[in-house]
Order: sequence, then C-alpha cells, then structure tokens
Amino acid sequence: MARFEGEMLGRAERLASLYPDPRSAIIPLCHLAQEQDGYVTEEAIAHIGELVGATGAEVQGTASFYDMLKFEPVGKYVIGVCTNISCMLRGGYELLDAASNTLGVPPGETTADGIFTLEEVECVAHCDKAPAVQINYRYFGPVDSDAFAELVGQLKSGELDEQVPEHGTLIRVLRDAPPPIPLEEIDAERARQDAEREARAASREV
Amino acid sequence: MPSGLGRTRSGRREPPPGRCSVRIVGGRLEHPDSHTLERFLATGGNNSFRKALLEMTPEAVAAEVLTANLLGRGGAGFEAGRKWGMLRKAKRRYLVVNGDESEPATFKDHLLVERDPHQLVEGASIAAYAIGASLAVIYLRGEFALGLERVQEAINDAYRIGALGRDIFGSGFSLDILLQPGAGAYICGEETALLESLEGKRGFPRIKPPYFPAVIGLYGAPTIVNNVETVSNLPWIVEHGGEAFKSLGSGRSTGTRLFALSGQVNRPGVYEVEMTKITFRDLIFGEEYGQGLAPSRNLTAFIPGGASSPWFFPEHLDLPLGQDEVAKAGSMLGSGSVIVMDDSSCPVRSAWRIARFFARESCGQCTPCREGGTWIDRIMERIEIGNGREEDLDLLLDLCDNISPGVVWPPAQTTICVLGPSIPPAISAAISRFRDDFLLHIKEGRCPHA
Amino acid sequence: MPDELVSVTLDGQVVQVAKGTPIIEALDQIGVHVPRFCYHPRMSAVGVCRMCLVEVSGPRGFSLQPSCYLSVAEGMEVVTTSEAVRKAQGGVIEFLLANHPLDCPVCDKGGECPLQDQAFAHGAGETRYVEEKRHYAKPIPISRLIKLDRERCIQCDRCTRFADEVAGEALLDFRGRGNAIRISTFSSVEFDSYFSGNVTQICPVGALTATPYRFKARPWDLTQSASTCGWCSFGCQVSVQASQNELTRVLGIDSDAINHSWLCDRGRFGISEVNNRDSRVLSPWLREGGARREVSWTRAVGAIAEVVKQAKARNGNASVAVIGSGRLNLEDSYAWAKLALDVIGTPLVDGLLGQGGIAATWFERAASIEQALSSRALIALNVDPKEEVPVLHLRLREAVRKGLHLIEVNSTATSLSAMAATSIQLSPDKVGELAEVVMRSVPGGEGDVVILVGGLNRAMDPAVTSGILQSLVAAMPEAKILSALGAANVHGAFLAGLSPGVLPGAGEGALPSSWRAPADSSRANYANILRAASAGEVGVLILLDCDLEEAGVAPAAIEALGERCALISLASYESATSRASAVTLPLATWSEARGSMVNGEGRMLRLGEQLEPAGLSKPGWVAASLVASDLGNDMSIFTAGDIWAELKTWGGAFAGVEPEIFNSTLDGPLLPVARWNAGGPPRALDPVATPGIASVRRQGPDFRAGAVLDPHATGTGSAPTAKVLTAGRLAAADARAGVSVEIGVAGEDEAWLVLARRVYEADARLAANPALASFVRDDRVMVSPARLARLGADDGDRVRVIGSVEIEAVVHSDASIPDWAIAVEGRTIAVMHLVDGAGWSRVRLERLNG
Ligand SMILES: Cc1cc2nc3c(=O)[nH]c(=O)nc-3n(C[C@H](O)[C@H](O)[C@H](O)COP(=O)(O)O)c2cc1C
Ligand code: SF4
Ligand code: FES
Repeated sequence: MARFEGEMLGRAERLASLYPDPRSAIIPLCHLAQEQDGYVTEEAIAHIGELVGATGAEVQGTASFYDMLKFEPVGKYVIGVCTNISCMLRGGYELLDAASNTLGVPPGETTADGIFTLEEVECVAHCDKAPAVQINYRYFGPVDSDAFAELVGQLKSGELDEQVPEHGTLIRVLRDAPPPIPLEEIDAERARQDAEREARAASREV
Repeated sequence: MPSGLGRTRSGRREPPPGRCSVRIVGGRLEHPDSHTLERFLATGGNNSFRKALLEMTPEAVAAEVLTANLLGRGGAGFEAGRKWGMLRKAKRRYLVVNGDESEPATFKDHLLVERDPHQLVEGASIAAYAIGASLAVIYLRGEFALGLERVQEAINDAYRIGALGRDIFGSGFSLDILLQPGAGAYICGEETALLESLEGKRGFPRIKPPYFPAVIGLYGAPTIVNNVETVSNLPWIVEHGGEAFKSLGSGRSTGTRLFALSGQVNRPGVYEVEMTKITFRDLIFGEEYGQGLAPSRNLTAFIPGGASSPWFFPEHLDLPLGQDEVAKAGSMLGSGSVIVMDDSSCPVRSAWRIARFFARESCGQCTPCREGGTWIDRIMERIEIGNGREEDLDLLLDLCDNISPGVVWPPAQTTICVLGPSIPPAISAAISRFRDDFLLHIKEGRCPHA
Repeated sequence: MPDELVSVTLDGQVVQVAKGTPIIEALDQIGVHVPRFCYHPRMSAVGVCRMCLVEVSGPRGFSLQPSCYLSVAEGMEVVTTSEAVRKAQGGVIEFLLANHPLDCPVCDKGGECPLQDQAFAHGAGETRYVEEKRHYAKPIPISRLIKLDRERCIQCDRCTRFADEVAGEALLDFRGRGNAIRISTFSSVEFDSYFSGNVTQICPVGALTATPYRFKARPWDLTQSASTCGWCSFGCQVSVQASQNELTRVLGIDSDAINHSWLCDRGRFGISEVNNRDSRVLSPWLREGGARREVSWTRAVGAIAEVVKQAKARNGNASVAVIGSGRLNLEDSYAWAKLALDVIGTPLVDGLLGQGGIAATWFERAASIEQALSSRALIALNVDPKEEVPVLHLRLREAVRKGLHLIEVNSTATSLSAMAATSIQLSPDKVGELAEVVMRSVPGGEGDVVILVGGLNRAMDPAVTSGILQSLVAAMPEAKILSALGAANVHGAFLAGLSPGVLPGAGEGALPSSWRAPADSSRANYANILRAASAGEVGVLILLDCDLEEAGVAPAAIEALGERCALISLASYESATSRASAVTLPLATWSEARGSMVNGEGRMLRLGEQLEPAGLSKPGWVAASLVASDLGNDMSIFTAGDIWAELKTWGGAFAGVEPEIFNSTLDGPLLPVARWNAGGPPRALDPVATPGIASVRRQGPDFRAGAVLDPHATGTGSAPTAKVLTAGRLAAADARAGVSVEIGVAGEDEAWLVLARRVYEADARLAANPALASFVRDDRVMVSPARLARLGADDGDRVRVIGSVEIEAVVHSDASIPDWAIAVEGRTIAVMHLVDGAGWSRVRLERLNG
C-alpha cells in the first residue's frame, strides 16, 4: 500500500493540482505518505516523483532535508522532548533522561512493541510551557518525569486518542474550497486592476 | 483536557496577560473561543478587509501601512510599507506569510495561529489586496499540528462566507490562499529558504543578489514575504488608520509587539506591549509580566531577541523595548523573544546549546556554516563535559571569526545567509563575560554547575 | 555585437571588462587566480563553497563576497590580497579539511587534486581539528562506471548541478541537511546517464572516481596529448592520457566551439578496446589455401598489388571497388582516395556508406555549431543528437533554455521532443509534402534557419533524408546545415574525395593530371557496390576500417562475398569482415597516429598520437602509399605533411590549410579557412574545472595560447613535395542533383521499421570494451498500444519480427510509437539486418506462443 491508491490517490492528485508548479506539493505529499504508512516509503517517493514530475533523487533530496519526514518505520507515537535553550534552562535534559528511562529506549529509538519513538527535538515554540513535549506534534507542557509517565499511560490506555492521532496524521482538516482560480484568469484580472491603478495615478498627476 | 495531569497542559494558552493601553493583534485572545468564526465575526472580523476592498484602493491601503511604519515582526525589522513599495512590476505577484517560527524561544506566532487564525487570514487577504497578489500562501511550521488545523479551518470558513475565492464581497477582487505545512527545518524561516521549500526543494537560502524576494521570489515572480504577526496587525491598521498605529510607541518603533518571555523567569508567556514604553526590567520583573526570578536567584544574562542575538547582561535591564534602542546597545529585538538566565544555570552550557542548535539546523551549503558550526558544537561540548583545553577558547573565537569576520554586530559573514553568523554571538558573549567559568570547566574537568 | 565594457579596479589595476563577467573570470583575465571549488565556467554559479571570497566595494564599504557569483559593475573595486581575504580563504580551507580524510597517498585524485593544491597554497599546514571525522561507508558504486567516496566529498554541488542543469537528468542529488548532507542517487536507482563520466572529471576531490580508471595510474606517470574523440562526428576535444603505452583515460577539453569540456561516456570510456590486444589485428594476414597466415607487410602489400593488377587486367579498372567508413582519418582517407581514383583508376569508391547525397548538400552550406545554436530556428531532421552526437544534446539543452526555437522532424519521440517548439512526424506517406509542412512551422520568414540532419532511422534509406533535405533547401535557399551523420570522420572522407561525385576539397579547384574524375555517383553508391560485388561484377573489394556486419550484412553473406571476390581489409579490430578477407592489413587506430578529421560543422580537428601503434599496425596512408608503390606509382606521399601540402593545392575546403593553423587555436579551423573567425587567443583553461588536464605531463600539443603545435610532424624530416597540379574542373554536378527514392507501400500486415541509432549499440569496439559492453540494451520491439492489442500480445511477450531476416525479441507497448511503425532496438547485430535496402524497410510481427 505504499503507492497512493483510491481515496489517497485522489487527495494526492488534488494536492498536486493546487499549486502553480506541482513540485510545490512535494512536502504535503510526503506528509500524506506518512499519513498512509507512518513513514515515507521508497515506493511513495517514486510515486510522488511521478505525480509532480521530479526524479526519485530529487524527491528524496527534498524530503530528507526535513526532520519530520521519516524514512524508516517509527512508533505509533513519536514523542519529542525539547532540550533547546528555554527548555534546557527548565530541565529539558533531565526530562529527556526520565523519558528514556520510562520508555526504556535512548533518544532516536523505538520501543520494542513499536508504540513509542523517543526523540530529542529542537525548540518547538512552546517555551512558556518548558520543558515541552510534543507527541505526534501535539503539544504538552510543562512536563516533569511523573507527568511524562502519566502521559505515556494515557497514550497506552487510549485516553488521548482524540487529541493525538497516530503518527503521520498531521492535519485532520482538509482543504474545503473550490479549485484555485486559474492563473490565467487571475493574470487578466491583474492586468485590469493594474490599468485602473495606473489610471488613478495619472489622474492624480493631472 | 483530561484532568489530573498534574503540571501537564495542552497547547491552548491563556490570553496574554500584561497591561497594555491597547491590544492590536491580541484583542480577541481574551475569549476562550477566539479561534472560531463566530467569535471572529462577532468581534469585527472582516470589517477591515471589507473596508479595504470596498472603500479603499490598494494604494490607499499600502499608504496607511507606510504611514503606520509597521516594522516586520519576523526578525529583521524591515518596514512592511517600504518592502511593499519595492515590489517589481510583473504580471504575477505572490504573497507568502512566514509562519515557520523556529527561532529558539520564539512562540508568539504559535499563539496567533492557534488562537486567532481568522485574523491571520484577514490580514493576509488585506496584504494580498494591497500588493495585488494573485495568490497567497501561508507557510506554517510543520510541527504546528493544531495551528495548521485551525488555519485550514479559517481558510475554509473564509471561502464559505465569500471572503476568499472569486469576486470577494462583490468587489471584483479575487484571491486564493493556500496553506503550506513545513516539515521540520529551522532554516525555512529564512525567507528565500522558505520560498525554495515552497517550491518543493530543500530549504537552501538563495544567494544574494537579488537581495529581496520582492524582485525575484516564488516561481521567479516578485513576492512579498511577511511574518504572521506583521500581517496580523493589518486589520487594526486598516480599521484605525496608520496615524493611530504610529501614535503608539515612539520613533521608528510604532504600535505594539508581542514579546515571548521564557527561561528562568517566574511567569513565562507572550505579552503584548506598546513599543518602547516598558523596559526589559519591567518585562522580566514586572508584576503584570514575568514576575521576576526564583527566590534568591540573580540574573546573569538575558537574550533580547531570539537565540541568534547578542546577549545582554544586568546593566542592560533598563533599556526600553524599542528596535533602535536595542540596536544601539549592540543587539537586536529580532523575533521579540527574551530568554532569561539566572545564576543557577551554566553559561557555557547555554552558549553550547545555542551553538548546537545552529549547527544542527545549518542547511549545509556554505562550508563555514556546515563545518564550522559542527566543529564549534563539538569543542563546546568537550569543554562543558570537562574535556576542554585552554587553547580551545582562542580556537573557538578564531573559528567564529572565520564564520563572521570580526565577530562584530551587525555581523559580517563569510556565508550566504545569517544562520552561520548566528553562532558567534553566543560564543563570544559567553567567553568574554564568563571566561572564568570556561577556565573552571577546563581546570576541574567537569561542569561546576552540574 | 561587441560586449558593453565596464571599468573596474582589480587589485589596484584599472581594467575594462565585459559587463556581466563574474569577478573571478575578470581576475583570471589579468592573471590573478582566486582559489575556488564550486565555481565551474560551464555551469551556473552557486557560490556555496565560499572559497573564492574577495573584498568587493559596495554602498556600505568593502565586504567579503564570492567572486564566482558576483559580476563586475562599473566602478567596482576588488581586493584579493588583503588580510581579511587571506583569513577568510584560510578559514574555508581549514573547514573543508576538518572532515576530509588524510588518504591522499591512496586517493585517485592525489597529485591532481584542487583541494590538495589549494590547501598547500592557502592552508595553515597544521591541523587544529582534534574531533572525530565524519564516517561513511565507502566506496559506493553509484553506477557501473562511477564510485562514490562520501568522506572525501566537499559538497561543492558540481556533480549534482551537472546532472540537473547540464544533462537534465537529476539522478544525483543532495540528501540530508547540514553536516550530514551528502550526495546520493535515489536508493537503488543507478546514476544511469550517457554523460555520467563528466562528474568524475569535474569533481574537485577524489569523491567521484571512474571505476575503469581507479588505481590505474598516478598523474605524474601519465603523459597526454590534445586530440579529438573518435566516436562520433561532433568532434569533442579531448586530452588523451596514457601510461606505459596503454591508454588510461580521456578527459574533455573546454573547447568554446564544440564540447565545453563535456564528453559522453562512450567517448570517455571507449578506450579499453584500444588496449585490448585480443581484439586487435596486430599483423598482416593472408589467406592461402583456405588458411589465414600472419605475413610480413611486404608479402601482404605485394599480394594486394597482385590481385588488383590481375583484376584490372581481366575486367578493367572498375573491377576494383573501395568502401570506406568514416573511421579513417582525413590523411588516410585522402591517400586511399588517391590510390583508388588516381592510381588504380576505379570509379567505384564510397566512404560514406551511402550518405553521399546528404554530405554533398551539407558542405556548401555548412553551419557551425555556434551558428546552429544561435539561429532563429533549428530544424532537426531524422536526428536524435543524444543518441548520435551526444554532446550536442547538452549544447542544445542550453541553447533551448536560452531561447532557441527548435522544430523536430522525426518518426518517433526522441530526446528532442521535450525541448522542441514543434514536433513534426516523419511518416512514409508524408515524405512528399514534408518540406512544406516544416516550412509552415518556421516562424517569421526564412532567414537564419539551420537544418540539423542525422541518420537516426537506419531503416530509412539515407536518400530519403537527403531528398527531404534538398526540398527544404530548395524552399529556403539561405538555410544552412549542421550535419550529425554519426561516423567520426564521415565529413572528412567526403572532403578527401573518398566519396562519389566529389573531388578533394569539394571545390571547383585544380585537378591533378591523371585524377580526372571523382568516383562515379551513379554507380559508386555503397549499396550498389555491394550488389555488384555479390553479383560477381567486382574482382577486388577493398574495405577500409569497415566491418560489413556492422553495416548490416549478415556474416554468412560476408563469407559468400569472400568467395565471390578478393576481399581486402584494412582494419584495427578483428571482425567478421577481417576474418573473411583474403588480405588484412593492421591499421593503427585512434590515438596511435597523428592526423586530423573533419566534424559535422566542417571543422578540421587534430588527432593526437599518444601510443605506439599496436603490433605491426601502420597508419592507413602508409598502407596506401605502400600499395601504390607496388603498383608502380609512389603517389609522392612519404609523410603526412606531403598529404597536407597536396590537400592545399586542391583549394576548395582546403584552401589555405596549413599545419600551423593548429598553433593558433584550441579547436581547429572551420573549412574553408575563409569561413573561420578564429577570434582572439584561446582562453586559458581553468585548472580547477578539469584538474586532470593541468596536472598531467604534456607531450606535444599544449592547451594554451602561444604553444607551438605541429600535428603532422612524423619525425622523418622530409620536406613536403607537392605535385604540380594542372587546372581542371569538378564533375560533381550529378551528385548534387536531387535524389529520389521509391519508398514503396507496406503490405496489409506490414509496418514500417524504425531502427533508431543508439549511443550503445552492437559494435565490435563496444563488445571489446569491458566497461561499456553491458550498456548495450537487449533486443526489444516497441509498438503502439493499439498494435499490441491487435497482435493479441501483452507487454513483455516474445514476438518474431519478420523482414529480410527474422529475429525474436520481447515486445513493449509505447504510446510514443505511431501506429504505422514498429520500432526495434537491439544488442545483436542481427537486428540491423532487418534493414532490407529498400527506400524504407518494412517488417511484420508474429506472436510467439508460450
Ligand atoms: C535563519 C533565519 C531564520 C528566520 N526565521 C524566521 C521565522 O521563523 N519567521 C519569520 O517570520 N521570519 C524569519 N526570518 C526572517 C525572514 O527571513 C524574513 O525577514 C521575514 O519573514 C520577513 O517578514 P517581516 O518583514 O514581516 O518580518 C528568519 C531569518 C533568518 C536569517
Ligand atoms: S549560512 Fe548556513 S544555513 Fe545559511 S545558507 Fe549557508 S550553510 Fe545554509
Ligand atoms: S563560492 Fe565561489 S568558487 Fe565556490
């Protein structure tokens, strides 16, 4: 199921048609691939290349630049503990150690049951709630070691299911709008407005 | 939120506390449902966009912004009105809203996208109208999952009520707004890297010249890149006029700004304050703001404008929160994030953590940044954990000099963008102010603060 | 249009430089060499390595700027000698070396490495880096030809830029970010490009190395000479490098006029067959009583003279026929033309394998490559440059990017299709009105139009292409022609007179006493000669570096031919033809003899000598001269210089040609020399652009201005002794008249064959080359989806193709193949035998069961 099929293919094609240049859809399509498979598979990279007119090397080159895109399977929950300056000043590293103990894996690894992947992350813009934690990019904070253990428990019991979808699902709100106005139509509209603009400028000069 | 979570709370924030004579971008935040269309419309939502479209020409809108002297809120502090004026004449023009917000300790845009997404969409629409953009893209940092959902909802709402799409409010003006998620790379906040990313490429900052995307931007077309907070100011400016905005603050620093206060301070948070009217001391120690440090702690240093700005020390506390005032003192207001360090923290560790961040976030194209950043990170790590050598200090300063010649402010650079030159300020500040700390690490073979 | 000049101050020196020149090039022009890595004169500047920082004045005073990226501007001041510049450059070098392995002694780039050289010149000498270096698995084969050592890579973006920007095949790209950034192909996908070898040439460190060259030699053991690639008629300028009388590698020289330093992989790696003695003809062979025996040159030459004399005595001059191949160099072609036409006196000579009609139209209106690429419209007729003259494809891509209007006229989609403004289908039923259709697509008038003509579809008689060409020319009398006919020196063979209907020089010049007429254009067509030989009308058939099997004759037919007449071959490589010959003379091959060739724009190019000829091989002109002597006429050719002296007297193309001409140009003169605008002195080559050229010991020709070259000094010292020639006239009018061929009609179940030329196709040289042999693709048949459906076959089924022979191959559906065509591509020479010699070959398909 690594290539897009059925409804996912429809979403993928819609994404690619949204932009003046389909290549702009590469990152959104990689997110879509993660929504489908939890990570960006090689087949998905090749398929994305076909959809946007790029080579596999180019799609991979772009995708591998970004930390959120994974190329190996990760846990159902990717837990990021921020250790950047503001969190560090409020115990970020201590929390990371505690998290590592709680989960039994060092940062960068996935628990044996495949549920949790622990990561050390850079500032996630949640500094007033330092030390901050993100679980599948949903934010929590401030978190201490007890609170972390509690969070893990809640994730396991399904208590947080509504707030935290499985890894890969990023935006649960789909674009609900007519297809973008064709650029040619906007160009014509632009030309009209520019002419008006110039007329106004001219009349001011008179 | 499930109860009993102890100190864990969700990403939803309280409205920014702090007394401000006027709220410009934070006006709606006192309402818990500030992100909904209902609240937006009930609190004057889209009145400004409607007014701009139906009563003002694009030039008139731009003129108000020019009068307001609205400084960009993304970091560089360039006047938005002047930037718009530099837009090259071309058939296609684009507006890109920069919501990548990844500068360490910066979290004001996070608040705005989650708590007032409609204001962002309205602001972007006004900007697009003023510059004649055919398409606007809001680029949000990928980690803002909730923010992305809220902004997408706001965009969907806007289409539904006729505030986006063809012939908006019967004005003849048409506009599409796309929401683009990032995927985790700090450098994509740099505007040309952001455009590359938006074109589906690696976030490599573009080499200059051209110096401004207003000349060559997205898909080669002239493009205005503005920060989330910058455009969020526009509805207010259209409603009240540029003069009213300018009457707030003083000098070049007009209006209000969101300041993100974090670190070792009692009440971290986002505070909207009128520019130049309060000092760093007020912000860090004031009752309505940071409420000071932990008991019996002393301030050792603070960073006035995000991790890349030069450090300030207690003697700078009485500087007002104004762009030029801070610049004159040798640093910058940058993204408006103030990081507080007290004497329980290790300055070597803080400087190292900042250097490590930039090393990890280097895009990798320039040799000095790619190689120098990691090298400095390694040396700093060695020193912090007790494996330093005395000669490392001179080596560090010399490596800094090779990335940012002279290690001066504003920085000179041997690199394409200023990410590389963002490393030296923290290192040089720490070494010059806390040299004894470094030597203690080296002598004792451990971190004395550990 | 003269460039607008601006006045700039470079290190205190006020100079005038063309506006838009990058600062680094302006500095090069005044002899100031700024260190550099990512900069490459043939690719867009990216300014990422930061090595070339210099101080440049701006509105806010001096600042450090990349001199490769920033262009000169009026009043600009540039300083390269300040402490700030020294410090910045030293800093960059130190950063680059921080993670660079210390393996220069075992690195292929050692001794010619820009990083090594520039570290020596600008580095500190002592490392301050005590941290652990980056580690990667290595070396990684990224293709069958290239290995990658990531630890040595300095992320200069040259290879990746080449793949994307120059070759248009973004198969190599950066991966990761920051300190972990590395170049990579997509997972298991090979860097499979005709142009892949260029990345090993431009890599400024030892990160990308050519597998065939790895550990072969050290630069100080190599010698090199300037030469021209011998694989196609584009004429890429190369440095041929050898060690211990073995070719070790070929590097592209940056010729403004031709290859901009690029080569295709066939040209770059197509050298090991020269070293492969097992494939070579190393001594003369004589067939006596059914057995082949090695004999001396004297015996072999004597035997040739004997059969020629006998044949002439029995059946007259026309009982001897000569077929050339376009692989002989200009000197050899001339000597053999003279031997055949003047000494033996036969009218049956064709060195162009039937493409004489095209060649005749070509020369009188030859366009230079530059003219073609800057024309108002370029009409590409029956040509796919990427497959026939590959480096032209790279030049074309650049030209199209800059606005060249391209009109393609081909039977199926080609590499041009994506670039062309208009694609016009060349189908058998439309040949008649084709010129008219093409004319309608030429925008605005007819001036400044160039026609690029090739021989893409082998199944279509060259005369068809020639006919279309002539109607185009008739409609656009001003149009010029750039030829992409594939064989390396096919144009030289034409100009040397080794071709029907044309005398040496192709002009209206002087005629020597006995050489009364050119080869007979009505009878001397290559196909006619073969027909006559099989019919027993030819007593002696002389084949000059021409393997009939490659030309489409089945081995059994070659053997039969050997029974019917005396086959004489001059050959470098063993082939079905050499094995069937009565006498075989060993021919010195490419890089074993000095000489020259003429490319498709009519430019005379030098061929360097880098090796001793293998075994007893000799240059072709020597063989001709020896045979002539035994026939009682020494032709007055004792040195290659004699040939040049004689060529000049023919006038026409050769008017004013002097060996010294090569002294003043990197490339060579366009012919006739009057057409040639030599321009200023050739640009000095950037030593960092192609490191291997600057570092290797030179022998003979130098690559810079002012160096004295004598491409034809043979060491015998004898002065040219030109014959006194008497006036005469050229009787070539018939060759220029329109050729019309009957295409015929396809039967009910037949379709028209498209047998497109490919870079890698069955060929004795490729088969003898271990590096390239695996690139020849398996036989396959491509048809339209509709035809596949009618056939009742599935994609991937095996089918039988039935034409003049039958072959079996896998069939694929391909929407770009028109329904009237069946396209065949192949590894086996048998595929080429599907060409039946009619105007346009026809075949039919049969599904194989099971
Ligand atoms: C390394 C780097 C990171 C940046 N990150 C951000 C960012 O996250 N958000 C932002 O708005 N601007 C960021 N900027 C500034 C942008 O380049 C640009 O100046 C800004 O978006 C313009 O908007 P403004 O004029 O409204 O401030 C960054 C600049 C640099 C050099
Ligand atoms: S300074 Fe660093 S982040 Fe900026 S372009 Fe250069 S390598 Fe990339
Ligand atoms: S930055 Fe100029 S040569 Fe690399």
